[in-house]
Amino acid sequence: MKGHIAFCPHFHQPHFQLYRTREEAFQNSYKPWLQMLAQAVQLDSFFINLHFSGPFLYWLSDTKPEFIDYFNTLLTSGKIGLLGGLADEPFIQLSSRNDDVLYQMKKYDELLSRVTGVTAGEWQGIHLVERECGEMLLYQASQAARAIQAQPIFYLDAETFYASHFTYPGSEEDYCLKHFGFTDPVAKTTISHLPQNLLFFGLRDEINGQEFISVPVHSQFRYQLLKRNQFTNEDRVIIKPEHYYFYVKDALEQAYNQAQSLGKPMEPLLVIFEDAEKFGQWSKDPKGDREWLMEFFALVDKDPDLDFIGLKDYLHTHGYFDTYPASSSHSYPEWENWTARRGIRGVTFGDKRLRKVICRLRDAERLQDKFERAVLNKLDIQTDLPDLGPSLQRSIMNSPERFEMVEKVLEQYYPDWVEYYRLVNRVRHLVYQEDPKWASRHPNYGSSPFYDMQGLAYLEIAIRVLAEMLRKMNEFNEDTVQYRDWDMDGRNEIVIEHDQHSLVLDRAGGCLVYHHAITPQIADSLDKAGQLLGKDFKRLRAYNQIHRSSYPLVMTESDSDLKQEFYPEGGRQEVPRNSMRCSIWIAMLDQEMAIGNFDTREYTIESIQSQEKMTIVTMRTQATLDLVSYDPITITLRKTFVIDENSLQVVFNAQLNRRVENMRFFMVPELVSSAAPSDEVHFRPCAWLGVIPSKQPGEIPAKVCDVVAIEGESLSYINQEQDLSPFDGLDYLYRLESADGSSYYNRISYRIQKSNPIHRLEIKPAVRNYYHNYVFNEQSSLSYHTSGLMLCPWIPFDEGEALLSILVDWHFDVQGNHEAYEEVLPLIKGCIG
Amino acid sequence: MNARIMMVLHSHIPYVKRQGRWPFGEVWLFEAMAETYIPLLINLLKLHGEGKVTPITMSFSPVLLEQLNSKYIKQEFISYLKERENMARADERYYLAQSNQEFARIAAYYASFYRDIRRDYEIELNRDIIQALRYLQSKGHLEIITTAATHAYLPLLDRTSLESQIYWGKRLYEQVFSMEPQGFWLPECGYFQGIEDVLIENGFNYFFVDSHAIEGGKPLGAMSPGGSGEEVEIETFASTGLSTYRPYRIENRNITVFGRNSMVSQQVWSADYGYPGDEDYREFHKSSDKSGFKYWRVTNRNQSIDKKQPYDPDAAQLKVKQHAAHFVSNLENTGRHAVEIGFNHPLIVGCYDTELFGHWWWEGINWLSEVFNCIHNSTELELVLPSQVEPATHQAKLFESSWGMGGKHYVWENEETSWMWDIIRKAGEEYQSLKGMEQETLMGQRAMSQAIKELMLIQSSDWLFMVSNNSTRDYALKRFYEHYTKLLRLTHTVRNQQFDDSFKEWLRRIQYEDDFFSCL
Repeated sequence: MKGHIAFCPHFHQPHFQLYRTREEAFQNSYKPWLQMLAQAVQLDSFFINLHFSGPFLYWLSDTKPEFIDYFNTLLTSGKIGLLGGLADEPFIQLSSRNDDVLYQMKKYDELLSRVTGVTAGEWQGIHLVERECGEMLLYQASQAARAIQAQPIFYLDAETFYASHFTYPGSEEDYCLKHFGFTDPVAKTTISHLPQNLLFFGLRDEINGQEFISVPVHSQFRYQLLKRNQFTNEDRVIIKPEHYYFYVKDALEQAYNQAQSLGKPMEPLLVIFEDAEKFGQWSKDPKGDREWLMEFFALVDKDPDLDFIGLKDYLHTHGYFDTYPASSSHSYPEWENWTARRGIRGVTFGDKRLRKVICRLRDAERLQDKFERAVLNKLDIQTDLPDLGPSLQRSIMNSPERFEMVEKVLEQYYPDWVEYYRLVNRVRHLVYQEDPKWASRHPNYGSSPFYDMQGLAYLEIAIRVLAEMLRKMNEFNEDTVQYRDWDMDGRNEIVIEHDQHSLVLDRAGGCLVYHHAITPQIADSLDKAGQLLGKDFKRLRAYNQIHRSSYPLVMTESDSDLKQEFYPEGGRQEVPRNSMRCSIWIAMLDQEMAIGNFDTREYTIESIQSQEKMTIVTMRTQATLDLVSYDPITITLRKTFVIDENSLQVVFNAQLNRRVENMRFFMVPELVSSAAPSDEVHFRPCAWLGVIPSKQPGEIPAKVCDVVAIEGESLSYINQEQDLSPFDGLDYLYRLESADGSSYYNRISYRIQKSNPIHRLEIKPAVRNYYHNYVFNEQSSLSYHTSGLMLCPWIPFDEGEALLSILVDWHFDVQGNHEAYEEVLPLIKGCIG
Repeated sequence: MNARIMMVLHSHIPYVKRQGRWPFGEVWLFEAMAETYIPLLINLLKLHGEGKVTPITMSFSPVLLEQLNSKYIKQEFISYLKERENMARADERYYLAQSNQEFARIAAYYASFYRDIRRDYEIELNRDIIQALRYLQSKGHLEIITTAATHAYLPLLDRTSLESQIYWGKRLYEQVFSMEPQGFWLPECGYFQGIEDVLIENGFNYFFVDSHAIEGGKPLGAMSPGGSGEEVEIETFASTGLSTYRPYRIENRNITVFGRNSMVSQQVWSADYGYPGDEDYREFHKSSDKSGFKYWRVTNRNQSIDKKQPYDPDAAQLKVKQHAAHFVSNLENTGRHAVEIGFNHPLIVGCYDTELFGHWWWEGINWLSEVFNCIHNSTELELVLPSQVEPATHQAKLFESSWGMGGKHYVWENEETSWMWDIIRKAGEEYQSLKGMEQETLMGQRAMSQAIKELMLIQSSDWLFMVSNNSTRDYALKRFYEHYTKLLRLTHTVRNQQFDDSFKEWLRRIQYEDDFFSCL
């Protein structure tokens, strides 16, 4: 028996990863990896297939040139093969475009060959993000690979091929048994399927004529790698490299024997795929991990029956097993183990916060599509067949090479815009990166909206660049106010697009679900916007200052307090907190109680008025409530949103239809922003509220809940109460510190224009918990530095009516001078003064 | 600390190497290795790794040691484990296809079991059980003693054969462990007055007997699971007033005897209330016709075999913990009682066949490990080795006895086996008649060397037991006759000095078949 091992570690850090996280991984994992590889390449039978994700490579090439130099010297050993992949580690199957896969692969090829000199033709295989694939992606990826002379060789999870229905007819997974009550006799007797121990060979398949080879990855060889505890609680032994070697060899032997028994004396291949960071970073023990791996390598090295091999090298030498994967009739069901088999589309669209990112991407894609059509319209096709023009345009738009073709036309007709077009496309792609799409909803690893916030900051600029180019072509015909189903939930939202901010209002809860602001300097100038994108994207920088110019003000995390439970066992949907919800409370005999679900009720749109540079939207909801011992009472809550070029005014007005004795009513609006401080270097964020005093006498009790107290590496939350002088407004200032050395504040101002006297003020984190009890508690728990801010002024009803008119505006890149305020409420303890 | 616990496990499998594989033969050895010896050793190594010192005494019959050390057995054992694993996987597929998920899960459990045993044997033990025994002995976790060379039932053996069995038992131990054995396990606890002299001559310091040999009274009766259950007249021995709570010096001799404690023995051995008969434990006596795997639990010992319910390893594991706690609690109570009646640091000796644990009683190894852990955590108990016990100050005169049914020799000498003893005696005489003849030729020396092996194989207690027990009678008789026939041809040829080619070829073959005791 001769068996082969393709060891395929995957190195990845997402775009916009925090400096401190990257550096820690660099010290614990990436540097030790190189030290170990230097040792391992001395072994005769050693070979390794490395996959560096695009974001990882961009970061390395920007900040760690010495690492790359050293790696490139190791490459000359001939013992290291590189795997290709996609430039942004994206879930690109979420894209609406046909050309994105090829674009991603080309960009990756450019990047890898620039950094290492290895070109697509030399790739040992292709890494698909999270091994997540449906037929469409396999087809497109195979086609793209051929276009750049790479071989379509993919490692995919064994489960992708191997539906348990075929593995175990009669098992719980047997659909026939499940639905019809008997064991499928065909499954039992005649169906041609691969037994599990044959899933150790290359398997040829083709989709729409695109041939590719897939090699199964078996999860147990991931989980056992570098383990230093028992396989199971009942197991008697502690895992050692010898055990791992035992299982690897055993699987290969079984595969070999099985193939022999079928008259195919082929040498099997076992793929070990795992995240590279498992080495050193997960364990925080690089030395122990290095010894573990080297021992395993040495065991293989001295075993004449085993060797390490490159994926492509294996297939060239040994070919593939001449059998189609068993589940081809299942069409490679979109499969994603980590997210409970919901598949990436299910994950993304099932989560309302993630869905917003995709919806904004769709807006960008729609504009890009318009722009491209407008560009192609300029194309003067000299042909004997004039009718071919429209077909050609359609063909270009549907082509996998659409981007390149439009780029060429632009070079001809709009050379000044070529670079902008490239940048816009680049930005759009980057927002598809996988981490926020799955990591944010990973059952263990929790939220990572940080990546999306930065991606959206660039995307909003890209959208304005597209809009501006369309305007200049006289092709921009988008209304400032649109009433359409923006989030694809079957109901229309109000989408308002200004140069300096975009927002979406939803009738559900009558709230602001998305709000993004751009500084006027960028919003007004195509050149400046283009320059900003060019500075950060022409060659992707590891660290940036984008939030000086562009910031998502409302992109809140989903909130467990707003969860909707479908059944007691656990099915539930969480809804983002959003902004400008409003609830009605009653107070009686020291008891306070929210009534009427006004914060989540459906609102009707009374009017949408559009004036020049100003939009006014009025929504209303009404409820008649039976209060115990009282006659029914009708409460009407009306919200008026006044949106102009650079501010937002909201008027909350609640009215009772009659007076009620012995009961006090309050209107409690929620002024929410997801804007949050960040300090990616020291993890010492800073945010506070500055009080703008009014001339009114008196005091307003204020409670700041969950003030963040940071001690060393640990966090705790404390409540602080104090009386404030009556105020005209509050300034929310949050500091942003980037690893490029920049440090600046952004400010969001809330100014009271008109109001009943405020009874009290509650200040809370925008969201305290998301997916509570679904993800680890420490991941679920959020506060000011992770979810943003919520201001809840309690407005008492006076003469049956409550009123608050608030003006919100924002200024980026300002001084964080807390001494300019007479009163300051810190949201993170000790960060000022 | 109130009481000292001496756990003594006696290990023996007859010589089966190249004597057939299945259903009788090498499979017995492989089963014992897979189900008992390896799991036990891995558990002892794990306890050692955890820094827990839980010393126990183990005897190994020389034929077993020889087989465990055999390159052929080591290799074949791996094949056996792979075969079992494959068979379990085939069973799993079969039962799934039958929508029998309960059995499929048990089949998967067996597949994992055999794979892990192979993993442990290859990696943890480096295919060398003997080396692991040496290691554990060197670290004070084990005290290993020897027994009769081929596990002959000694009380009924002629003097020369008796001496030979004990002498070679010691020599073979020394060859394997490079040290002198301190203790001797009397096969089947078979004792008669005078045997201690042979032990003393060979340098042994201690041996073990059943409780009634010291205390008198009624013997325990049952010897091991799988016994025929036949009614036997049980002799009541005169009560001596002595106790197994302490070791004794044999009257006027310088050798110590340890007596088996009846309580700790019965708790495990008893057919009526011993732990292995619990409803949740795996049923030993019912196997799949297809693969031989055992898919059922005891369910109810009094019900017929067709009423057995499917086995649930998790439920059984829970029982293991309960029973271990119960056993140790009983030990503590017994220890307290012994102290109350005047024994300072009483000694409680539990003697068992090693193969009871794991092989007969599937959960037995886990139970043992739990017991060791519980004793380790107990403030009242301490595990001790014979060499750690102070010299015996009291003397005793022992009854002729064994731990077999009836308390004496019935199991090995009865109507079914008396003719076998005639042959055993004749075989001894036949060999003795030639022993003085000096063999000038290499062939003569080889033939005599082989003759003593055949003689010792004839003397194995196993054939007598199997015939008495009527379980694998045919195989036992075949082996008994074969070795006797081989001995006769060897002695006849040596006597006549007719070493022709046919004999040489035949000798080569039987040397290959009955290939043990290389020091002979």
